[in-house]
Amino acid sequence: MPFKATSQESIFRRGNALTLKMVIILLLSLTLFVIDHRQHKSHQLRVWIENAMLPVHHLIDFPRIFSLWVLEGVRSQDSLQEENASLRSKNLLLQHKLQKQEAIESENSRLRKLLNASFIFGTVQKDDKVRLAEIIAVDLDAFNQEVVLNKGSRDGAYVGQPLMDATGVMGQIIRITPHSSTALLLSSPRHSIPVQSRRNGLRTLAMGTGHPNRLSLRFVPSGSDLILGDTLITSGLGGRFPYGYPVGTVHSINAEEGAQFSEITLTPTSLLERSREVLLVWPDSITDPLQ
Amino acid sequence: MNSRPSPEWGRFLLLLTAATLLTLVPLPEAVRPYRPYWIMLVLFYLGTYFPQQNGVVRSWLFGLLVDGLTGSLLGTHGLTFAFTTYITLQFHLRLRLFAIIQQMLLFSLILALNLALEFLLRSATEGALLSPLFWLPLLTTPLLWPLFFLLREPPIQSPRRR
Repeated sequence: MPFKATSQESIFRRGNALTLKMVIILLLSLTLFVIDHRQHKSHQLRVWIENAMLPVHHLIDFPRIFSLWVLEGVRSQDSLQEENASLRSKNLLLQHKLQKQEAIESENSRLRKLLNASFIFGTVQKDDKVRLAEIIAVDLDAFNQEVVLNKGSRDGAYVGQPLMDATGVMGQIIRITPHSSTALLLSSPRHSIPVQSRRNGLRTLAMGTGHPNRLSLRFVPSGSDLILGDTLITSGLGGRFPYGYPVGTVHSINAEEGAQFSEITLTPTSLLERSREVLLVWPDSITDPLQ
Repeated sequence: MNSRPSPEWGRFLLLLTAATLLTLVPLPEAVRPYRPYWIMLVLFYLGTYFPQQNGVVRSWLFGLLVDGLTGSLLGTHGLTFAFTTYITLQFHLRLRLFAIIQQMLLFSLILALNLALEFLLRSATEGALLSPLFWLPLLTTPLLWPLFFLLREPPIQSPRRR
């Protein structure tokens, strides 16, 4: 669009006004930084913006949903039968395992009552309520380890809620709007989670490293009884994550002679970068407003 | 965008919507850090060749929306986008006469300033060290400038001045 000479002149006059605008914008931005940071990114203005922008997220997710729908339509009967059979056998296996686990759990809680031991903060897993949520395929930022979920406060989700997939803990919700929420993954350097060894109950903290499949254990005195392959589960301390869900397995131990702490890395058990369907968990101590 | 946008807004909305979608589309893990900073390219392009279609206030408001979309500290993208627009609008007459290499260099400089601002803000507020891969868009984005350079309106006769 070649513009007219008259508008050309107005550009020249725009110069000073432009600088003034820029200064005002700078001040406004600084104010926003302070407000947003002070409120930990959860306040009404942010909810409004994120809510208004939700259709954009869904628009980006649409091709994936559409291709899934098409695939579903063209899948042959044979493959469906096959899948059905394998699922049935898997289900049987899982039910069998579950029965065993229920027995162990009830025995466990009986024993705990007997001992009157309240040192474990969380509750047994079977009392937790879960609901399925889906990750919207949007790339927020290559370095933030945040994902968008399709469940929000209307669905009973809340800030700080634990997020799992079928194999372990994934992270927690950090921001929420009525119809969507943003979760921080375990792998973020901003995230840490209290864990304990399943084998011997050794408690420590697992922190994200920024790398999608590494966590690091902090403050483990060198010489502690942790070996490669040990599974670490949530300890329930802090009251945010319920007790007993797997977090990661020990991947490497680097204990230097004379060092106070050893450097230990974990491989998360959950598929942080690959899971699409995730579980939102309402720990037993926190009642789900919708149920 | 139901009502027909006035011509002054058409290009702004169209190009920035496209750039935003390209910014958010999921990429394989290996190439994620290389994603070019499409929005900066568009703002630079609009500011240089269509100064009537760009403005610091609308760039700022657009930046706030992007902050909401990507979960960054509110105002981060607002400020960097407005700053980019401000610089290009101030110098758009000179920028237009530059050779493509000069434009790329200047664009890299502006982009570097913006990334530095974002880096500082995030380091200050997030309490975690950003990976050095954060700076990769600085290498990939200017390489795409020729694409926009070809898209521009053919140079017009410079308007007669008194």
